[in-house]
Parts: sequence; structure tokens; C-alpha cells
Amino acid sequence: MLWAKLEDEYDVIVVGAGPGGSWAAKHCAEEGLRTLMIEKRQEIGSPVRCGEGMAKVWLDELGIKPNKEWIANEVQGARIYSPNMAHIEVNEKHAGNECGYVLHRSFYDKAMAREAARSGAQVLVKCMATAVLKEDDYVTGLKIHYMQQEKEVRAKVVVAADGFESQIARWAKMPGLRTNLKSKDANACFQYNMIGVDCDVRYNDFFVGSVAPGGYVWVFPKGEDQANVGIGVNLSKITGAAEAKRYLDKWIAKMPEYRKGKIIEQVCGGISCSQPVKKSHANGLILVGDAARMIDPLTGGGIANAQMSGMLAGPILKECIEKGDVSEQALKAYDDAWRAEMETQLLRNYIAKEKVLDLPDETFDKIISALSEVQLEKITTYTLLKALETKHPELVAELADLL
Amino acid sequence: MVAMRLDKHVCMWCGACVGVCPVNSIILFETRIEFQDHCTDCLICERMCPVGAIYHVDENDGHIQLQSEI
Ligand SMILES: Cc1cc2nc3c(=O)[nH]c(=O)nc-3n(C[C@H](O)[C@H](O)[C@H](O)COP(=O)(O)OP(=O)(O)OC[C@H]3O[C@@H](n4cnc5c(N)ncnc54)[C@H](O)[C@@H]3O)c2cc1C
Ligand code: SF4
Ligand code: SF4
Repeated sequence: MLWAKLEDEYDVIVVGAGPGGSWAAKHCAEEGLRTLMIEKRQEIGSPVRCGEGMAKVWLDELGIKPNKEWIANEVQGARIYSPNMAHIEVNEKHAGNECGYVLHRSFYDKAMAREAARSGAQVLVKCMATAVLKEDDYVTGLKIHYMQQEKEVRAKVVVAADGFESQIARWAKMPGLRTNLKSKDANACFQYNMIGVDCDVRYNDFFVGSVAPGGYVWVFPKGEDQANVGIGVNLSKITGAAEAKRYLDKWIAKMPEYRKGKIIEQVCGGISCSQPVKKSHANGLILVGDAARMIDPLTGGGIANAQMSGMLAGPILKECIEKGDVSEQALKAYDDAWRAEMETQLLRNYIAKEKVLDLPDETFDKIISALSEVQLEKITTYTLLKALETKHPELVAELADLL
Repeated sequence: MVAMRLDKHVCMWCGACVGVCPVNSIILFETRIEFQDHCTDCLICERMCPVGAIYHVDENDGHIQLQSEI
């Protein structure tokens, strides 16, 4: 869309054209709402900030047809390696929300934005929201910048899908809306896309323990000799500069399969490993995806949750706007809807993340070795404890509160 | 008193520092990081930056960066 065609008021303005924003814009536009989506980058989906793992089951639930354009590889499962390199294998269906497809996010994000545009949403790139407009305790719009121009645009509801930065919520300063993160609830991430590596295209591999304090190293294969080799390190474990990159470089140097690889892309970013926000709605404002801290705190996967929340927002915003009530009370329906879909899982995995945050290497070794000796149909807390019981009863007590 | 600085040749414009700043004092204008006045010098952003693009200067303008043992 051209800036000149920009209207003074929309039903909905979505900030951010990540998967969450595009899916919110698509579903709002499909409901007939006059929708504008703005993105501060000049190109949607680039630079990539992602390991690009995504579960197959989620695509279905989100109403997305798999497309060769943005699928790099299909994996059958995940392997989790302990510090002593014992490993367990988890079938794709039970491996959480990061396993199934390895995507090309730069194409995926564009495909999602394309759907939003085709559904009728206006899209403006290189356009940044720099301030939140408020009147009588309501968020009523945004100040936006495009090239050298500036404009105030009104909206009945602002959808903050601005990702990890989550600044719209903080600029809005609405009661109860908090998106700040504690150090132990954030991970610093770094990744190389490497060519000429010996990866196994059938698996997404995870390496846990002190190689990546409070997080893990991942290898997500995108092709026979090509993989995303990345790391997340918990911020509470970082004392010096550039440690995410340092830990990854150190790990790669030890691995003959990967150290011969050639780097064709570098990726950098932050993820939350927190509980989701206590409140994702205020008068005239809702938060979607990473902005609402919906990333799975254990796996770090956030694409699907972002899109799910965006999708749920569509019909709810339609109803609120139609009734002329975009108050906090009315928009609570959105908060309830995404919680019903994903909160239990997020809270359970938050407890699990808190557990593994300080787990010593020996404990990882014991757990993963014990599990590798039994055939696990499905890794659940119960099967995990059951398998540990015979070999390491002392650990069962320690992990029992996970239940 | 210190002041936060950015090495723009290192920065990858990822917004990781923005997301963890406790007082929301950093803005990422697509490819350009700006520190605002209400920074409290907590150095959290410097630790968070995955590639070490953030450093600080002290009152004598000396460049300082948190050293890493890794
Ligand atoms: C290194 C790394 C690896 C990851 N690996 C995986 C993985 O393997 N699987 C997985 O599922 N998830 C992964 N994630 C998480 C995943 O990338 C996010 O959960 C997902 O992108 C969230 O989508 P979103 O739409 O909420 O936010 P984003 O995709 O972050 O989109 C937010 C958009 O808002 C824009 N924006 C921000 N502020 C403004 C503003 N003021 N004005 C205009 N535009 C603005 C940004 O430019 C951005 O494009 C990873 C994250 C990182 C950093
Ligand atoms: S030093 Fe602390 S307050 Fe200042 S910009 Fe960095 S994180 Fe924000
Ligand atoms: S975290 Fe580092 S690389 Fe990322 S935007 Fe901030 S300064 Fe730049």
C-alpha cells in the first residue's frame, strides 16, 4: 500500500508482521474489519530470527497448508543429547512444538503476510510505530513513521504483535500490563546456517547441559549437508560480553561434524522463557505472540503460539468492535481464549524450565542415560519418573514436584 | 556514572537488548539502536547482546566491556 492511501482511522492496527501479526491481520480482515498491519523492517521475514523448527500438527490447527516454498526439510523426530553424549529419541508427534518441519522463515513469514494482504488487510513496510496514542484511559491509535513522514493513525483496537521487544505494551503504560522480563526468564540466542556439515536430515538434535547454560545447542537440518546450528543461553548465566556466540563457537570447535561447515548466514536474537503475561489486554489494546511472552519456556518454540493467538483475536475483535465495546472487560474474551488453548502447557513447561535451569551435567547424564535404556513411546512426566525410579530413585524425589 | 555505547559494526539489529531493558530505554529503528536518557546503567543489555555489540564508557571516556571467561 502507498502511504498516500493511508486512512486516518482503522478498526484494527496490527504492529509487527511476524507470524503472529500476519495471522491476526488475516483473521481480522476476514471478519470484515478494516485492518492495517505495519512492519518496521523493509522486508518481511528478514533478517531471520529463528531456528525454524515447527511442529506439523500446528499447521493443521492454524489452517495452513504445507507448502514446498517454505518447507526446507521434514524430520521424523528429535534427539536429545546429554553432556556425555548419551541420547534419547523422541518421535515427532511428542517432541513439542519445534519438531516436524524445518522452515525457511524468510519465505514463511512472507507467505503469511501475503495471506493477510489477500484477505483484505492493508500492509505497510518500513513503517514503525513510535508512540501509543491514548485518550480517556483508552489506547486509541499510534504515531507511525514511514520514510521521512509521520502521522497519527487511530484504531478501535491496537494489536501489539511486536515480538520480543514488546514495546507497544510498555509504551502504553496501561494498568496491569507488564511485559518486562527477569534475567532468568530470557535467553540470548545465536545461530549459524552452515553448509557442508554431517547432519542427519531425519532428526532435530538438541544438546543440553553446560555447553549452553540454562538453554541448549540445536542442530536443525535444512538439507543433506546444511543445518541451522544455534544456541540459547539463559541470561542469568551470562556474565560477560558476547557469551551466546562464544559458547556456540566453543561447542562447534569440539564437533568435527560441524566445525568443517561453512557459514552462509548468522542469526541473532532474544527469546523469553517466562510465564506468559499475566494480562494481555487493556482498553483498546491486545498483545499477540512473543509480545505477550507466549514462547514455550522449555523448548523456545513460539511461531505456532503467536499465530494461534492472532487467529483467536479475529472473531473476538470483530464482536467487540461491532458492539462498540473495546474495554478491558470486553477484550478479556481474547485473554481467556488463548489461555484456554495454551496456558496449561506453558505453565507446566515453565516449571520444567525452572528445574533444568540449575541441573548439573551429571544429573542430565543420569536422566538421559536412564531414559535411553527404555523404549519410550511417549515422554511424559510419568514415563520419565517411572524410567528413573529403578536406576536413580534419588532423582525421582527431586523431580517429583514437576508433576 | 557510565554511558552505554553501541559498536554498530557488530550489531545485528535483533532487538534482544531492547526486550530485556528493565526501563525500556533502548529503541531499535530497524537497523539502528538508540539508548535513551532514562538508562540506569544496569548493564543487562550488555550481557544479553548475543554478539557483544554493546559496551560502556566511564567518566574518563574509557571503553569498557564486561569480560567473558568463555
Ligand atoms: C534464535 C531464535 C531461534 C528460534 N527458534 C525457534 C524455533 O525453532 N521454532 C519456533 O517455533 N520458534 C523459534 N523462535 C521463536 C520465534 O521466532 C518467535 O516466537 C516468533 O517469531 C514469534 O512471532 P511474533 O509474530 O510474535 O513476533 P516476531 O516474529 O518477532 O515479529 C515481530 C515483528 O514486529 C516488528 N516490530 C517490532 N516493533 C515494531 C514497531 N514499533 N513498529 C513496527 N514494527 C515493529 C519486528 O520488526 C518484527 O518483524 C526462535 C527465536 C529466536 C530468536
Ligand atoms: S544499561 Fe540497563 S537500563 Fe541502560 S539501556 Fe542497558 S538494560 Fe537498559
Ligand atoms: S542485542 Fe546486540 S546485536 Fe541485538 S540489537 Fe541489541 S546491540 Fe544489536
